[in-house]
Order: sequence, then structure tokens, then C-alpha cells
Amino acid sequence: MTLSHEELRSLLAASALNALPEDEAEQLERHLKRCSHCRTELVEYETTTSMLADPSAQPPAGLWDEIVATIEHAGPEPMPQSLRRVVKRRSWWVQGWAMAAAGAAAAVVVLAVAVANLQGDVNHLQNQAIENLLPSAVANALSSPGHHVVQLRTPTGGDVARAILTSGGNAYLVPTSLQGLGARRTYQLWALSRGEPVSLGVLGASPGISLFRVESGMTALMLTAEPRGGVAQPTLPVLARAGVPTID
Amino acid sequence: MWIANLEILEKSIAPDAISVCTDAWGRTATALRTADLDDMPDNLSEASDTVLVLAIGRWNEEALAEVFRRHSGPVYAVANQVLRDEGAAREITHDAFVQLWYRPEAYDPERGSLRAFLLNFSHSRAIDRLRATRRRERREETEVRTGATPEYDLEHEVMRLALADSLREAVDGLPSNERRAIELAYFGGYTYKETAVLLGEPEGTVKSRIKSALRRMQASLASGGILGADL
Repeated sequence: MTLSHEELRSLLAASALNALPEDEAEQLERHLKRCSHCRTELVEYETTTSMLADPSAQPPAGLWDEIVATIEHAGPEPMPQSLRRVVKRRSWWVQGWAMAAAGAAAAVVVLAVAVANLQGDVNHLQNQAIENLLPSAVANALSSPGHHVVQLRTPTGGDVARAILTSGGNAYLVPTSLQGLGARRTYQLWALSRGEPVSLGVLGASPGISLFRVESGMTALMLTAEPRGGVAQPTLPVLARAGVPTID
Repeated sequence: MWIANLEILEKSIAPDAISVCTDAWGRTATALRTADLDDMPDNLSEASDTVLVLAIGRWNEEALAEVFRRHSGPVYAVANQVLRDEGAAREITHDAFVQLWYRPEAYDPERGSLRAFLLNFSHSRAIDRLRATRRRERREETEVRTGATPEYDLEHEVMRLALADSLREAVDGLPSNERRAIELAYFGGYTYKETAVLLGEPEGTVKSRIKSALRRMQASLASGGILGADL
């Protein structure tokens, strides 16, 4: 039975006690994804129930050592520290890339519309490239036949950079509103190629225009912030991304 | 900074658009907005819980150790309060922190404190075990309980002793029918529907009593300066 908003709201307090039958708990969980009022009310109840645990209680002796042993040994044979870190970081990261791959397919479908809408922006970029005496290659790329311009957007829709992709595979990243990072960090550009992240370049803390290559099989561009010097595998969440049209 | 820029970007778009950015993307953005690793104190004991979770996302074991130091006691206590089984409570606490290590993105700061998140994990796992045990016992006994359990009063006293003084006061201040509903549901692991059967009351009445009890406790703890503290 589908419950109304008020009926679902009446379940919030019991939910904070984990006292809902499974079917109602599932319905409420779906509702919470789209109802901020109920989320807020639930947080209030859960804050209160969190007080039901003794704040002065101590964990059993030796438990921390057991946890360390679990997280430092992926299997019966300890994995080398350096390899372990790469593998684990990837395991979290791959979820994001899998989502990106799904999103990239949809992005390509709507790209034709997006490119049309970008024409005004392209003109602006072209002017900017000329006016600021940026590398003439960018201006050439913008006037070359068959080029594409895609926007790298944050998860919340913010436009932070454009990528100009030429039919020959040369591509240029033009930051539009990238904020500078601290001295210990750098932006890094990645491509999703056949489901795997491939580094396209370490851009520095305050990137200017960058040249990179787009190969067949690349379906998305991703931007991350990484430790200075860059990394072999992305370790931070994707800050912005764009779908890549099929390269001829 | 980039982080500040993300905040501005989010404010500039419609609330509906924000709610679409849920799960990994939205949560990741939330964590990024809330804390910048460049701003992390050298001494992790001074870092906020959200900063620690972000550091755990970068496989910082010291950050996990600090979260363990802050929250493991209550996480263990709540499982033990429900199960009255130190071995099982230990396993659940172990799983809570291993889970945080591998899936820190499951914690969403917008859906409550890290303490509440970890306690909810521990409590729900304990409840799952308790219910599974009950189902097994029911199958073995081939009978369904239809009245209050005879050991309830004794359990009630044990539960009281397990509560911190401040909370015991808040719980004792509840009307008895509200207190019994909370104890049976939270510590007894009964759904509100089962609680209604045990108390011989309509389901809607029990739901209302639970809500009313939490509101009273909230007010009581807030007046005592307990709620709102950085736990």
C-alpha cells in the first residue's frame, strides 16, 4: 500500500528507533530522498536517540587492534602497503567512474543540443583567445571543421571549464571559473576510457589552457584535485566532468 | 577557494536541482564543501568529524583512529544494551568502523552527526540480530507471543542502569506509557506494531507515544544543555 506524506511523516519517530516493519522502512527511505522536511525532522529524532547510548562507555580492550588488522590485510597474505593503497583507492573510485560511464552515454545523446547552445560561448572563447593572445592553436581549433566544445560541469551544474576537441584528436582545456588550489595540490585531468580512468595531464594549482589528446574509446572527461605532482590513479572525487562525443 | 566556489554555485541553482545531486555525487560534493584537506589541523584531535571522514576517504588511518577514540564506546554500548552480548556487540562495533573505512561516502553530514550515523549502524545491526534470534526462537517454540513478556520488568531495570545519569533523568521523566513504548522499541528491538501488541494498545497510539516521548526527551536534554553539544 502506498502511504501518503502525512502517513510517512507519522513514521519518522519510530524510524529513529529502527522500529519500522521492513515494508514501511523501505517506503520511508524512498520518500526521504525527495522530502527535505521529513529529512530534517528525522535528523532531530535521531539526534535524540543517539543520546540513548552511554557517552562515557568504553570500547572493549584490543578492539582497535582487531580493526587495524582487518583493514591492513586484504587477504591471508598481507598486500604490500603501496599496492594496497592503490587497490583500495580504486575500489572506491571505480564506483564514481561507473556512474560517470552511465552518465556519459546520456551526455552524448544531448550533446548535439548542447553544442548548438554553446555557439555563443564558442564565439566568446574565440574572442578571448584572440584578445588575450592565447596560443593560436586554440583559435585554430575553434575554427576547424568538425570540432566540438564540451562543458566540464560540477555535480551541482557549475560550469568550470570548456574542452575543445578537434577531429584530429588534439584537444584543449580552457578553464572558465576554476579557483586556485593550495600550494600542495594540483588539478588533474582524466579520461574515462573503456571504463577505466586514464590520466590526461597534471594541470597545476591554477591551470591555464592545456593541450591533451583524445583517443577513440574515451567517453568522458573528469577533473580532480590531487596532491602536488599528480597521482597514477585518481584519489579524490570528481569535481567536474563532461561527456565526450564519438571521435571520428 | 574551489570549495567556496562550489557553495556559491549551489546557492545559485534551484533547490530541486540540488536534491537531484544525491548519492555519491551529492555526498562527495557535500564533503568537499564542508572541509578542505589543506585546512586540516596537524593534530587530528582538533579536526571536526567531517574533516576526519574526508581524511578517511584518503585512507588516513590516524583519522579513523581518532573517530574510533571519540565514538567507539557509545557504538559498542548501544549494541550491548540491545543484545546483552559482549561478543556480538564487539563484532558490530568492529564492523561499524571497518565499514566507515571502506565506505566513508555513506556518511552524509546533512543527515546528522557522525555519532548518530555510527550509532544508527550499531543499533540497526543489533536489532537485526535480535529479530533474527526471535524468529528462530518462534519457529522452535511454534508459538507467537501475544502479551507482555514476563521478564519485561527485570529488563526494564537493567536498561535503566545502562543509561547515563542525564539520560536516565530524561527517560524517567516520561509518562510511563511513553517510557515503556521507547524501551520496548529501542532496547527491546520490537517494531512499533509489535510494541502495540505487547502493550495492548492501537498502533497509532504507540506511534504517537514514541513521537511524543522523543519530543519530551529532546526538550529535557536541551534544557540540561546536553543536546547541541558537539558529540
